[in-house]
Amino acid sequence: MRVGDLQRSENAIDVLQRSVGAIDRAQRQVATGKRVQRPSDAPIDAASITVLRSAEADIERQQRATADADAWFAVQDGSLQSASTLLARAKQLGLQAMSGALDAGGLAAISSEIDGIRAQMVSIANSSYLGQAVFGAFGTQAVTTTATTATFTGTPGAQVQRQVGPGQVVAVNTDGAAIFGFTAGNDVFGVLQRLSAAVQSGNTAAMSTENTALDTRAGDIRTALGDVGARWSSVTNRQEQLADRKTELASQRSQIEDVDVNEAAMQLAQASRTYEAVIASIARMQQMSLVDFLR
Amino acid sequence: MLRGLSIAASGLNAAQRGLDVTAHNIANANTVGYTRQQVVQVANKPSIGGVPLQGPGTFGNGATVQEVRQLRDGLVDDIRRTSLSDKGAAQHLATAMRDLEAIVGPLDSGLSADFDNFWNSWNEVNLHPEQVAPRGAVIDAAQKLAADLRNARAQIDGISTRCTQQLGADAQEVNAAAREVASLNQTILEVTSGGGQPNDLFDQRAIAIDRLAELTGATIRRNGPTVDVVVGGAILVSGGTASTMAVSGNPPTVTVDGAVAKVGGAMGAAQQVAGSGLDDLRTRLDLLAVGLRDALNSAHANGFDLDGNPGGPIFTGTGASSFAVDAALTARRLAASATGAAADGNNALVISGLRDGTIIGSVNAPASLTLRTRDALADLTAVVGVSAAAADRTEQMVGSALAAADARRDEVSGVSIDEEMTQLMRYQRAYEAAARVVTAMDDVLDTLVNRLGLVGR
Repeated sequence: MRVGDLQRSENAIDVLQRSVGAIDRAQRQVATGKRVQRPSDAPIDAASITVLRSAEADIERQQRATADADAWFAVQDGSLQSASTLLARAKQLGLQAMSGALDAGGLAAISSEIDGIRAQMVSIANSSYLGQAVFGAFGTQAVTTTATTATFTGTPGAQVQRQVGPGQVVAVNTDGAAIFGFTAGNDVFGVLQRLSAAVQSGNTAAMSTENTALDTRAGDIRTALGDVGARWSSVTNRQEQLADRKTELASQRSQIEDVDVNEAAMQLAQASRTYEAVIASIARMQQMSLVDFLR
Repeated sequence: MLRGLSIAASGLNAAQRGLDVTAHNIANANTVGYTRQQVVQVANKPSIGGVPLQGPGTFGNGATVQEVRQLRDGLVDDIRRTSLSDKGAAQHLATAMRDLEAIVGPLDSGLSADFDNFWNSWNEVNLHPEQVAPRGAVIDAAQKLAADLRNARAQIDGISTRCTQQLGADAQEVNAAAREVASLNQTILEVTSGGGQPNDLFDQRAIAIDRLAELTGATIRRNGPTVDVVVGGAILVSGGTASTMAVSGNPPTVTVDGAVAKVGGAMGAAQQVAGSGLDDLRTRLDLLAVGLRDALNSAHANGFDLDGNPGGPIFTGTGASSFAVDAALTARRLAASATGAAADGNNALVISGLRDGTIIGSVNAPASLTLRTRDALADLTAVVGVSAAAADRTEQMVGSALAAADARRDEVSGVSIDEEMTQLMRYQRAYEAAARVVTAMDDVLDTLVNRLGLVGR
């Protein structure tokens, strides 16, 4: 085979370019730590990376939603625990008043303590998270009261929803109208107010009626507490799942997208060696000519 | 006796021509497209006064240079031109496809990230429906999304436009090369009919034809000393006349003297990209835009804004190129509420949940294109990635094919300095020897003229 000089130098340039290109690629991978930088580097992997990144963004969104749900449940759990304790105390006071062992002064003291419990219950019913009443759905206040009446000012039956998983929507609020007895037509604030009045006046029959009603309301609160606890624990579980899933997705993506640093460094070293060999051989080759040996 | 001198003179002459041709080869060692030349030397027919001598003891009559031959293989040239045409097409396509990759943007902050940000911003509104800041973030995310979609579409159109412009410029170059071929044909015909051998004009013509092949996939028909150039069935150069190539219309058509020609090479690739080559990507982006518009606007219309009014459109536009956020949309007018209550963010949740719904093709599109947005974007990434990777590979492949064809051409036609140096020595020695013959003859004549017959002096 004949080889012309023009072609020989063009071949040399071609080989040189190739080995420089190889160094460049290897160097870029080492520098960025990414194996896939453009879709054409590995089209199917690039598509997978897109899907994984999107899934990661979705996980982040769900994490924000679950964190928010967690806060809502924490507020409700605390409030309902206090409400439960307060109602137990009210029941205790009601029974004490009914025993007949107290004089008018003692009854008045009990009556005023029950009034105090009512006021605390109102404040509990109006517990809020970031300005939104947790028992009032979309209202800023769940209950407004006067000395003798209480009105539900939230949105009865409405749900404040959070999406904590694909297609998994949870209500993070509790319907105050139901748990405080507005729906049943006998709200806990009315019961407490009437109990206080009955104690004040020493009306044992009325006290007995309101004590029974108080049992029903306290039962509702306990049920609500259980319900909140159940939903809360499901959200907490979901949070753990999400954290695991996020790590999993990130590691999946890293496997596709990131370079193995050792391998990349090896490749770079190899490309550099090839390059050195290429330039050395070109230098030697171009030096030799028959002209040098002719006199 | 004098015949010896004339034989020696023919040897000197032949060696001189050999040295000339070798010098010409060396001078053109770096000339692109140069074909090495060789002296074809033959022994003169033995004759005296034009009458051939016959029979035993016939003496030779020296050497003569019959022709200066170009070492060229027409078949190799033709194969090389096919490779050139493929290379022209592949190079053009690879450039266009590399540009196209940009439409999906960087993998970590491109279109796909825009969509994720958009969906996530709605989730924030669900968490804090009454606050204005998260609502503003939705508007920002929507603006960025719309701008990037429009930009992606504009990039595709930009590539098509560039290809159309390139076609026009290429046609000018084709016409110039065609005129050059025609005029060289003319000159070559004149020189050859006068018995000449315009080797270097052949080379120039071959270079012009190579360029035509690269640009248009032109092939040649040899016709005696002249060649005709054919482009996609149309005759571009016939002997000494060149036709005119023109590009017109959108999508562009290429004509040669008014007749439509099916060009190959770089122009063929440009024509394809400028024509329907990118329509699939356009359709994908348009479906994405329209699907998103319809799905979002209808979900948004089900909700109520901060002032209790039903949601208006979020996105407007009839495709990716006109895709925009509705001008009337403000942070307050985002319909996050499902009931009308300001603190209700449940409709924002529905909208944020559309990320998992089949948006693309939910309206007015074939079922085969019904996709979730993230799948549509993954598809888009894969499509542009595969196209660009394939174009790169093709470019490398035809590059190797061309290199092989170059090597084959060079094997026959390339100048090797070492070889020429050897030739140089050969002709130099021949010249020296022929000169020595002249001296010897001179000595003999001297003997004959000056030293013979001293007896009678």
